Amino acid sequence: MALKGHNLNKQWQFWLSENAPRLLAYARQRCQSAEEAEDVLQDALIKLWHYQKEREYRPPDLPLAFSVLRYLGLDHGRGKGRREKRDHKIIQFQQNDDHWLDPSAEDQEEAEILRREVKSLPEKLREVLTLKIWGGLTFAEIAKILSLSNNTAASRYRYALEQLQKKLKYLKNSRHG
Amino acid sequence: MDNSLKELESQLESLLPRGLSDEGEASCSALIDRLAAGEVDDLAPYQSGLTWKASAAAAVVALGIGLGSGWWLGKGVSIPQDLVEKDPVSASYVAGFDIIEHPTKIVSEGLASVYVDEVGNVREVWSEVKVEKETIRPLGTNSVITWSKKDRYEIEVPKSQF
Repeated sequence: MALKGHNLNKQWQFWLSENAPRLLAYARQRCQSAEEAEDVLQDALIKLWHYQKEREYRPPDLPLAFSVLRYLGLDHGRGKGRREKRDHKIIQFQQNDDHWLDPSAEDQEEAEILRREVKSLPEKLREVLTLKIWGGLTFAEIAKILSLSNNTAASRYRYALEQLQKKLKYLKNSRHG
Repeated sequence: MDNSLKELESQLESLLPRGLSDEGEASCSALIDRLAAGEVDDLAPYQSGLTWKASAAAAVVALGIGLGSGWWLGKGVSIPQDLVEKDPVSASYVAGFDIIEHPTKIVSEGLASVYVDEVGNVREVWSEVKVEKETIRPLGTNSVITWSKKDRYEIEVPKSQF
């Protein structure tokens, strides 16, 4: 079943090069390390490839890719002890430099604080924030992936921002006496 | 949404997610080539192949080094001699196992301690022990090998607000 005539390799390679960072950032939500996230992404590629059979194996839309990643991430978490894995991930975020967001902001210190606070958000808030900010999805798309109402997705996003803002303000005030 | 939240959004957008590692990129590229060539039929066999290789290699390494700390064999197990002598990561060797079962359980130890951190968030800490077992049978034999591993974790998380 060779499909090379369709030039699919290049289309998928391009699709992956465009979207790998945002997909990995989401996969990292449920994985202990960057390596595990890359494994889950590879599994997702296989699933997506077969899902796209009816669409002539075209590269998938992003919401579908995130849905498959979510499913595989949950499955991955269950297989290794979901709660232990999720909670251990939080400890790991606090203890080493295996970050999933690179600070490119001018103020490195601010960026570092922001990155740390994003990671310490409750999972439900962080998931919506990740899909919106780095996944580039609409609230309707996020709601569909997470099986929520549009309003709940938007509320969680706003609540995540407010929590971050509150923490940043507190930290700034503490630093400046 | 007020301006301060919009400003925060912009700050968040400036934190760029990391891309694939060089190794991950090469693996994905090879995988896409295999998919396009019709060489990968489904996720299940692909995934179990990886698990299989890792698990079997781990089992053989454990046997070969005389069982490191935390690893042990189940009762009444007979160990085929060739298991210890062959290359633990040889693909041809690894392909000669069936995984019979792979149960995992997680047990909490003691009660969680709840405290309030420096920014006023409620957090809790407790210990958990994860016990993982795997039973495998080398193909063409009646021997069964069981290994088990215990890991202790200190869990420290924010208490859920939902």
